[in-house]
Amino acid sequence: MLPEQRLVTAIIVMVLLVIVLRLVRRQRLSVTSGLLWTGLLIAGLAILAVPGLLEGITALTGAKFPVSAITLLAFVVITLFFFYFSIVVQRLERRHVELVRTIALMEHRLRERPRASQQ
Amino acid sequence: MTGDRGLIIIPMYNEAGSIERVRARLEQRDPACDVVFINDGSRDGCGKLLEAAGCNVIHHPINLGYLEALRSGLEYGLANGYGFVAFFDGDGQHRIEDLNQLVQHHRAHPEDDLLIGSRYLGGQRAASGLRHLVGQTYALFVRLATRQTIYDVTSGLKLLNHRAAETMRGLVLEDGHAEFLVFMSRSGCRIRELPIQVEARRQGTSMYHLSKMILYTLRTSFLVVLALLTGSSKR
Repeated sequence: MLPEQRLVTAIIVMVLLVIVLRLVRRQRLSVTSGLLWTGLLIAGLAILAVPGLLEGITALTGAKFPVSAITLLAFVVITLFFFYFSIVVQRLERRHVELVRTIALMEHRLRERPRASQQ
Repeated sequence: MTGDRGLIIIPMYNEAGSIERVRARLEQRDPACDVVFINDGSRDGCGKLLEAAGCNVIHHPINLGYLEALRSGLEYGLANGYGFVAFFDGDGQHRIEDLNQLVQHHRAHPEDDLLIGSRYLGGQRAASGLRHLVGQTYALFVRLATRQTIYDVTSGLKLLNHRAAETMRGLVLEDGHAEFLVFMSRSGCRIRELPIQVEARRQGTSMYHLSKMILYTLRTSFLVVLALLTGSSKR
C-alpha cells in the first residue's frame, strides 16, 4: 500500500472512530456495540501503522496477496457481527413481545376494575 | 389454575366480519366456560366491535401473531384460576358443539392433557390439495418426532388441562402447531384427537397463502429437526 493510501485510510478510520465514540456518549450506540466497532477500527489502524503486520497476516492466512487476506478478515468479521446482531435482535424481539403482552394484560385489568367493583 | 371452570381463548386478527357468527355460537357453549377474545393488533376495527358488543377482550397494541395471542390468553387463564383452557378460532370455522364435546371429554377423562379437534378423524379433507399435502407433511414430522400419530396437526381447536397449560407456559415456542405438539408430547403430555367438523371460512383471509405455506413448511421442518436434536425447550 502506498504511503498516501495509508494516510487517507488512517484518516477515514480515525473519523469513524470519533463518530463511534460520540454515538456511544450520546447513547445512540450501545457500549457493547461501541466496544466492538472501536476494537475493529483500532485493529484497522494497527494494520496501517505497523509495518509488516499486513504481510504477516497474509502469510498467516495462507493468502497470496494482502488484499485477499483483508477480504477474508472482512468476511469473518462481518459474519461474526451479523451473528451477534441476529442474537441481539432476537433477544429484543422476545422482550418486546413480553412487554406488549404485559401492557395488554394490565390495560385489560384496569378496564375491568370498575366493572368488577360494581358487581 | 385448579378450578372447575374453563376459559375459551379466541385469537382475533382482522376478523371483524366473523364476530357476530362467533358470538352467536358461543351462546351455546358449556355453561362452565368463560370467554376471552385476544384482539391481536387488528386494523379492521375488530377490537372496538368486540368491546361494543360487551365481550371480554384483551387488546394487543400491535400484531404479535397467533401463538403469542394464545399465550396472552393462557397467561390470563392462569392468573384467574381457570381449570382448563380451550383454543377456538375467531374466523367462525369451528362449531361450538365440537368444543363442548372436548369439554365433556375433558371432564370424563381428565388424564388426557391435550385434546385436539381433528377434521380428518371427522372424515373431512383440507380445503385444497396443497394444504392437505402440507398438513400430511407436518403430521409426518410430528410422527417422526413423537412416535405418535396425530392426524390434524394444524387444528386450531384444542383443549389444555391444568398440566398442559402449565407445560405450554414453560416452553419456548415459535410455532403453535407442529412444534407445539412435539414439545408437548416430549414433555410427557398425553395427547388425544377427537373428530370434529370444520366449516368453510366466510369472511377474511386464511393465514395460509402459497408463499406463507412454503415459508411455514420450511420453518416447521427446521423447528421439528431442532426439536429432535435438542429434546427440550424449557424457558
